[in-house]
Amino acid sequence: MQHMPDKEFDQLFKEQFMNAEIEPSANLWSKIEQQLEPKRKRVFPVYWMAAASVAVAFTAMMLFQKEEKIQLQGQPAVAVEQSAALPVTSSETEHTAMELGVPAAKPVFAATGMPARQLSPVKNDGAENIPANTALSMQPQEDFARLPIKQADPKPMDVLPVTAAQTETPVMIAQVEAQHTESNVISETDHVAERKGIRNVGDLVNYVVDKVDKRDKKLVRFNTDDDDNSSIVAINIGFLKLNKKDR
Amino acid sequence: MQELLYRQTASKMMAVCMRYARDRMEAEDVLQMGYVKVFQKVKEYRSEGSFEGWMRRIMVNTAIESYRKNLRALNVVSVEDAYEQPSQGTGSYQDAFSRLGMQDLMKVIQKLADGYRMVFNMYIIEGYSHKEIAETLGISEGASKSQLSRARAILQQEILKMEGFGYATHAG
Repeated sequence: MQHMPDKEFDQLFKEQFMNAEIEPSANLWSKIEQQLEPKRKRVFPVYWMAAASVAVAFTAMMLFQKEEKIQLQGQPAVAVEQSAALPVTSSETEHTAMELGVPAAKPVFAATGMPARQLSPVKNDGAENIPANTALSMQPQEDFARLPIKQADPKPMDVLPVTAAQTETPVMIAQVEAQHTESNVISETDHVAERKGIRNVGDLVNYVVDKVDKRDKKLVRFNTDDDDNSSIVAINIGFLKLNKKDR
Repeated sequence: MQELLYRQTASKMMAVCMRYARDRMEAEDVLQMGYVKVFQKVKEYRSEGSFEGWMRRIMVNTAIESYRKNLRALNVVSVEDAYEQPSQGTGSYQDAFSRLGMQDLMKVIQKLADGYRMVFNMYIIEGYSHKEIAETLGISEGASKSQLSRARAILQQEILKMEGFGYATHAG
């Protein structure tokens, strides 16, 4: 028997197998296709991301709503601030008018309760269409107006409560005035910031919102500084309100 | 697109996988894994060399991975080792090869012990060096060399046996 050199032996094998073809089973492609399918399912993370963003938005709203709760205490002050420009002076006069008016009205009450009630509405009209917000500052007046009605009959008694109310009202006026000046200062700085022009995203958003939202409290407001840092200062989306200035 | 590529190349790749496998089933498992890899990595193909060559390498690597995963006792070389010398020579190896087709040679290769088959395929058909084989399979270069010569000897015996049998039936 002849011995074959390794090289020759190897070469013969190689030749036989280099271009060899063996048909695989007919169903193998469908198996491969099935295994490739999971790749197409990568669309699903999009839904997951959507769900995650909704969750983030929800938690953010929860957080803001918490802040809103804190805000509720400060809200009346805002109301006064808003209407501060005109109504404060008018309410001042009203209060003083009330102070004067209550003793003056006493004889009238004795006759009929009705004219006394008419008194305050008339004054309201005189105060140049005060916004609904000022209702808060007006509430004490109603109380004052009602008190004398009950106390109209026992004349000696009503002297004390009226004086008590009188001492209270000046304090209220003092608070209102303090806030009034404060709000003036803030609004001035606001205007200065607006005049600086658009330097960053915060400015841009402020500018756009100014154009679109003509309300006093804008949809959203950013505070911007020279370091190009902008932080959100105020949000007003109807049910959700935030204003850092009120603190 | 993917299916077209598969249809055009599957039979060639199947032949590659068959050499590394013990049987058709094992070969088709490797072929399946290999094609999934091809479609996943097709973007990494950098037109260096032929695309078919690139696919072939993926198939070979998949086969080697699969072998290493179920590393079937390389040291326990089976009864195949106890081959008797062919009793009578019925002709030259050249004659034997000319009568045996690729299918027959495939059967012989598949009968080899797993370790021998890996070394034989990698060295002789794919052209790996002993150093590369040693690194890939985690064996020594010496072991790669000795396994290759053992594999050659077994194959030669087997081929002669088959050829002798074929000759006998043909003559009878």
